Amino acid sequence: MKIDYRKLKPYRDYQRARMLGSRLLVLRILFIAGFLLYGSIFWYLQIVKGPEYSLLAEENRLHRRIEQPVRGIIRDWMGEILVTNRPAFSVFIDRERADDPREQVSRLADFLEEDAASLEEQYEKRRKQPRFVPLRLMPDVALATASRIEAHRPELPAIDVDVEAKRYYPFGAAAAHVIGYIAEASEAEIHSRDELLPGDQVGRVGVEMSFDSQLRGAHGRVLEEVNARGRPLRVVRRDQPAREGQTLRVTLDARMQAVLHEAFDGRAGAAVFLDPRTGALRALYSGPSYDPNLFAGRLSPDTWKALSEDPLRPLQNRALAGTYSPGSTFKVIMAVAALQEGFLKPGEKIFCGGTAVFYGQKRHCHRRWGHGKIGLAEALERSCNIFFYTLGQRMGIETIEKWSRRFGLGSTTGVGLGSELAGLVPSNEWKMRTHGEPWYPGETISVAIGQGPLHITPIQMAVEAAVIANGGYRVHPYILDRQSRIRPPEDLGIRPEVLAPIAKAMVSVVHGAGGTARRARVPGYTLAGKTGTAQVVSLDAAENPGDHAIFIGYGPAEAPELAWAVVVEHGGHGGESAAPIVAKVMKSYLERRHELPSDHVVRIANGAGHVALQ
Amino acid sequence: MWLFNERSDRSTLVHLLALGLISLLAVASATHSEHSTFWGGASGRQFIYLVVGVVVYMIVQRVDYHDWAELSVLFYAAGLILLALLPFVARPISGARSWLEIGPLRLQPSEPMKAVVALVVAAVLSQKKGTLSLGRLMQLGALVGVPMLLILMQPDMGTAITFVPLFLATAWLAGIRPRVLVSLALIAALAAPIGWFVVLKPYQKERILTVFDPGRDPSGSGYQVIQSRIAVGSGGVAGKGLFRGSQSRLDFLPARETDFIMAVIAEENGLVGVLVVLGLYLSLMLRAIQTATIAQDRLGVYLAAGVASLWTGQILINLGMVTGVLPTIGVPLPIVSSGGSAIVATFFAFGLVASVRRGRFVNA
Repeated sequence: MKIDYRKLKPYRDYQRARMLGSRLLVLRILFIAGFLLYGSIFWYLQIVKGPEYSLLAEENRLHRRIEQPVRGIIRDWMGEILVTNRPAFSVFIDRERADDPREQVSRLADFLEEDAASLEEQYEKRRKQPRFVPLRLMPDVALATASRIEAHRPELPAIDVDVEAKRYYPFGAAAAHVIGYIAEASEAEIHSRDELLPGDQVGRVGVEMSFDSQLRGAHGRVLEEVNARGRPLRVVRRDQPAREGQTLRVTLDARMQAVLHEAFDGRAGAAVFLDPRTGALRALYSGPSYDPNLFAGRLSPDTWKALSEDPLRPLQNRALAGTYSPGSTFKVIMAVAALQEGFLKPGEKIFCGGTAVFYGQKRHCHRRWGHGKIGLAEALERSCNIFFYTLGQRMGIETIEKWSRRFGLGSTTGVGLGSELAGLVPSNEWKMRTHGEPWYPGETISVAIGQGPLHITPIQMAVEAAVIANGGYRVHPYILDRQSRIRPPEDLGIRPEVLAPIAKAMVSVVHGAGGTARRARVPGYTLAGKTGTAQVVSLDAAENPGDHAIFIGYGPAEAPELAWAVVVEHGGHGGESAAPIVAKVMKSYLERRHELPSDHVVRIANGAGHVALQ
Repeated sequence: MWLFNERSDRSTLVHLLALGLISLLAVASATHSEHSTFWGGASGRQFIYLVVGVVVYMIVQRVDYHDWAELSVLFYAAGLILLALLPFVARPISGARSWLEIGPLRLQPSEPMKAVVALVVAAVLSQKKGTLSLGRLMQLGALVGVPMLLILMQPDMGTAITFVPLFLATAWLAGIRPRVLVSLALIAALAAPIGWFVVLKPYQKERILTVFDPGRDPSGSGYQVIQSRIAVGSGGVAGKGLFRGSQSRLDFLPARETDFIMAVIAEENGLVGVLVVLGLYLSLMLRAIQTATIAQDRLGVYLAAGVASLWTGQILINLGMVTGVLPTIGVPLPIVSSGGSAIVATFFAFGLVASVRRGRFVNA
């Protein structure tokens, strides 16, 4: 059926036309209303909410990227590098350049003759990241591997070898405790230190920790424009360029550290060498040690477990946190106190018959038949106990405590290289506080020869030796010349005539015929020292692992440049195991003496105030 | 020029061309990249579609709309056959079998079908006078409903839904009784839960829920709505400048040269640009309604008003998507969105309206 629409045309139904007219008017009104509604919706979104949405658009568009600063390197006083950053080659895959990333991974495995499964595992583990982020397949590969990949570049278009900075400690275990290591910052640290961001590495112990803020540098802040997939397109603004960390020149001597490490040969103990004129640390060693390079990469849980659960506790810094009975080395302080305070007249001799009774208790000298009438110099050289028991009896615990504290015992040196212990100097007040009973004079007798409840750290022992070496100044050890908190040496007010015989006796300890530290001798030089043996009390005598060997001293005796303390745990007598270590270190130092920086001391002397030279 | 003379509707063509020009700039901006050129990309194609559209418009408006009405059944039948064939011959593109591929051409039959349905509805309604009986209402429903159903099965919810305003407007003009309209609304309300639980797919439900709370799935279905609103809102009064919209240039805005082209305009040209576009559309539609009021016969009234309603509905639904007040259902903005079938269909439809306007001179 064909309809001729033209025939339908000329009809005019005015009633209907009116109706159509009003119905069309409704349509017209609806249209206008619809557009007005959207006009106002756009007005609301763009004008009322405009600023809010502008911010959201900016947030979309801009991304703040943090640029990691290069951590500062650490050199010793000679300029030798103790810590640096080494380039580590890591293998990445850029999935944007690969049609089939998995195929590239397996091809890479073929070229490197690697286990494909482990590479694929790495790939699968990181696959969820945005596509433009290159995935690390192999961290820290050998140079040979890297060059092999470069050689196969045409077949591996999506594989990249990138260089990342990794901390490197060339001296390894030799300077582990003093230099420290770095590790990823904990959440608490990030919270408390504004400059830290998640994923940052912070110094954990040693110089790496103490001077972390100088070494760290500062993050760069870059404002980038990114697209919807997060790919950075251009740098909008460089708010702050990354600032490289400072290079630190510490007072340490890398070679001495190396010699110490070798000389300790895995034994437990500690050694501190410092410049008695200033307090500058030359060497600080704790054994057994560990390789800080292990911490530079990703530390495996097994390695960490082995280190932290080792019964010899290699992670502990014994030089700062190992407390030992000083043994006979304490007699040096006894001698100074007795002469200075007049408890011993110059030239006075005391009779040693091998045994004597003090406060009703029979005490022995280590020489059973005694030393006879003996003076201070001889008593020190031969380490006569009866002589010092007598001094202890005369002085009482108050005087011993006073002088111990003047030498720096009982408080931390504040060298700031990690946790340091104060040790313990006993007193009546201490006894009351801890045991609830007064100090018995009889207890003073043990303390007089460095036993009893007296505990000191190797670094305190080194300070003690420095006081004799520099003519009566207590030094405050430090490790960085430019450190603002260096405290100048303190004059203890010891009269020269008090120190002279003690120093002379300490020379005899090394060079005298009957000296206990003859094994510390270095041909051509005069050294001074005092050995000690710290008794290790064990309930089962058969299992007694042996006493700790201690040797403190300084040298060269006529113009001391180094003062030291060496402790070898269970090393027996100080002269046997600790003295040879000193000989090796001093030899390494004295052989290089002409090439050592000389302005160093002068500069510090000017900066730090008065320094006495004998 | 005999094809386009003093009796032709110049104003409608000017409106369409103005929108076409805006489209060229907006599409060029939306698809702009370092590697693209104006002529080489979507904007170049858009230009060609516009040229074809103008030619189509000129031809269609020159032919008497009564002749088009006579051809309408033929067109309608052909359109239905094409739509019915689509599931068998069309390759699914982003999940829908909506496109016929003939060589390099990609045709979306549902777009011209809009104009054809508007034409056939006008033709059929004009055959009888008197109020709309229930039988004729059902007839009208079938005429609109069958192609709608076929399109819904592609599935293309957006295009299908644009037929609803056509149905309502023509039924209204044909004299539907208000109480029938109320009953229809009631039936629709009752059918809504069935639609929710039976017809709608989970992603469609998600999109509807997103309108009320775009934050419920910010990376999924809420993403488009949030990003579109950010684009619109951040445009402010004057916009960020052409080719400077960060939301569109940095790929935050999805489907930005097609369904979300208005967000690009809003971002880069601000409220000023939005009002220009809205003003052009409103003026175009009011002119079509005016054509209806001065039309010579009911065919002309229904045709002009039907086209105006369908296209207005489509614009309002699109704006609703862009501003996030309606669910995202994939309705393009006529002429401005990139896409050949829709542009040519729009020029065709408004050519019919222009023919109606022209027709008043014939027996005057």
